[in-house]
Amino acid sequence: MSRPPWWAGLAAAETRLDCGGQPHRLRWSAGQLTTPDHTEDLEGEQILSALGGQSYPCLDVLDLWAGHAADLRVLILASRGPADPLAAWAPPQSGWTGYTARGGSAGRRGRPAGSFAMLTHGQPDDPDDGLPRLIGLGGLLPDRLAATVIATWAGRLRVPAGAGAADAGDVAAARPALHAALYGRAVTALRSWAGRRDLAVTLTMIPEDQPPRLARDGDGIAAELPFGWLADVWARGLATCWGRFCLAAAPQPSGDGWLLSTVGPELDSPRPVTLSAPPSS
Amino acid sequence: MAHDTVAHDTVAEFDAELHLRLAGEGLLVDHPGEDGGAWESPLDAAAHALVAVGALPAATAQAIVDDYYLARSCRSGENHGFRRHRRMAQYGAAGPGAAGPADLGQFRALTCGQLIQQEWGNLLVDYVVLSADATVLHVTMRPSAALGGRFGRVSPHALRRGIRTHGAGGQMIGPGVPGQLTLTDDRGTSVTAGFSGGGGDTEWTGEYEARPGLALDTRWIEVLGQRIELVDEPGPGIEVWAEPVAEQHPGRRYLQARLAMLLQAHEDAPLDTTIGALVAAGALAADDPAIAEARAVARQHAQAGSAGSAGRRLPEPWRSLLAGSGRSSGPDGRVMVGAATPPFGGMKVVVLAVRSTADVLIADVEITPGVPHWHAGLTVVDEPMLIWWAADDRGGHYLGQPGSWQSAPDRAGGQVEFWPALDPAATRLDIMPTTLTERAVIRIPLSWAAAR
Repeated sequence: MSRPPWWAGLAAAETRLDCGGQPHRLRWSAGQLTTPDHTEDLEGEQILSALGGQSYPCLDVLDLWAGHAADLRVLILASRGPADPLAAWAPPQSGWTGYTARGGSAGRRGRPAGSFAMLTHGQPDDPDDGLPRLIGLGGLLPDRLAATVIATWAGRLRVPAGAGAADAGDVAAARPALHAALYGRAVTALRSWAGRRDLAVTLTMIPEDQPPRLARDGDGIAAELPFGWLADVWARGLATCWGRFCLAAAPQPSGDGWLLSTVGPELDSPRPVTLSAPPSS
Repeated sequence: MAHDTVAHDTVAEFDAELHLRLAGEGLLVDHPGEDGGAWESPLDAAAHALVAVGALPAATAQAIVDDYYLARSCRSGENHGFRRHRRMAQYGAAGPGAAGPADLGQFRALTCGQLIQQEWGNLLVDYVVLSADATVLHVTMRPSAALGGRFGRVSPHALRRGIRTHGAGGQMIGPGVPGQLTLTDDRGTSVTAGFSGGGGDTEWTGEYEARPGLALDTRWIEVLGQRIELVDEPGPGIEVWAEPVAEQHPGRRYLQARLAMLLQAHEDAPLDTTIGALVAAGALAADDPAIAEARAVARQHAQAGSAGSAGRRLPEPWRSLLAGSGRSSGPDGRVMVGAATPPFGGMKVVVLAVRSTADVLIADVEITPGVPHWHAGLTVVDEPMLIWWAADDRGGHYLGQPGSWQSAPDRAGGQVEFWPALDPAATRLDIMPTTLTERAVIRIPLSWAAAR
């Protein structure tokens, strides 16, 4: 069975920005971030803004988004789930006129070729490369950015051995960060599910093709999950469903719903749960 | 600053990075918002341990730590940027792990003890510290008999603030002590030094500091018409040397150093974090006897004063250290030392004097480069470790920590307060500033002079 697009089941998200004195929309849908209130000629607008010395935050956010689409730092800053809310972003108090998009960082690996020209607004030495600004956008956009990064890395992990040799070194180097990203989200989800903030959780990040499982570990839980669990289950908001913890999710063969593999509070054998309509409705 | 991934040279390095990142996740998901009062976070403790034993490069560890503090800022709105600012001040733009060896030559600290009598009272110049950019006189001032032996009333507000003025040379401040002094060196160069310090009716202590200062190698300084000869010789019978620390196992010696730091801070929790990091990185075996020993020391220290058997069954130096807790029979007096160590562990220390009272043993010291007060915690992953051990000739051990302390990137100084109080029968004291790999020993015969 082929996997659905990584964004399947993720609802569209939108927020507004003050852009050149106008309230502009930033809209995420089907894996793409767009600025509906700008013209089709984004690159032209960006060149004009640079020539005129004017900042257009919408366009800068697009550039930042592209630059951080595979940046594992996103998974450090972004929320671990509903139990981990983020504060609204507040700009630094002095000398800040926007945010910075800089070239050359490792986090820009995923930037599509031929996207926007690099623009720099605000502090040239901003050490955080505008990432806090993205994480503080609101309107579910930070969650969608995290889902983008998760999908990118889940895809790299799922490449069969030998088929993506160019990325093998990157994937190996990223494993501690991937493991930590999975740990923080799985622990938060399990604690919310169990209703115990102090639940002890040990997590083993298993290969993508191995079956996930939960087991008792003393008073805590031992979880064995692949990183792809974040893409298939967690990012879609399916970690818990009707009081059960979801180990895996896949689209129904008929294409009109989702089939979940779940365990109950007793950590018994996994049972299937069918969602008859896509969660994105 | 963008940090994505790093290549791992060894399995241990992979494990170390994962361990640190999981500590960072713990910072966010384990009782978020409830550790604001902790002196040191598990993330800081783990990072410092992993860097110290060479399990992770400092720059890698610092980038991870920074990202997790930034993540915490994204949740609390609290700004953790001070960490970055402090690091920049300490290392410059290059960051941790990139600092070159400090220039330890541009520094002199000398015991003086010269008394200068004035109409208003006596100015006792205790020490003179010369560095590349400043000259500092550490002084004690007492009122003359003409003033009735009292400086007069000092406002509570002034006492709280200490006193600092910027008037013309010789200007009198507060109760009648000079706010500024003119200092002259053997080249004929004169500079104005301003006072900062405080005191009461009968005594003021503080520093006169001039920036820029006098010639670093001047043979004398003239103050208020009197010449102070500067002699770079320690007091009689004092010996100084540097040597490697006895413990050669990197994991064990780091654990011992951290244990000493944590005893000073009366914090137990970071000990388990440290042990966890060392084991995860393969720097210590999970069943290494040093782990049980460290836990026993921490446990007995926490119980000291209630059990009456502190230190029993522990090896030295912990046994005599804990056994002496609560001692309050230290001798009263002061020994002028004026001894500079050779470079050790990237540092150089001058012990200016040692003072003892019934309850506490204090060393007046100067250090280059600057070492922050221990209250600052481990805000940099490769924060240098300096443990102040001391030992007497009767087998007693002492542990010190900065009390009154001033620190700049290139220099620090102040009072190191040791516990327990000095054994009254001791006739010799070794002050042993100790880094992770080396220590200096300043051996001082205890020929007491009156402290006042």
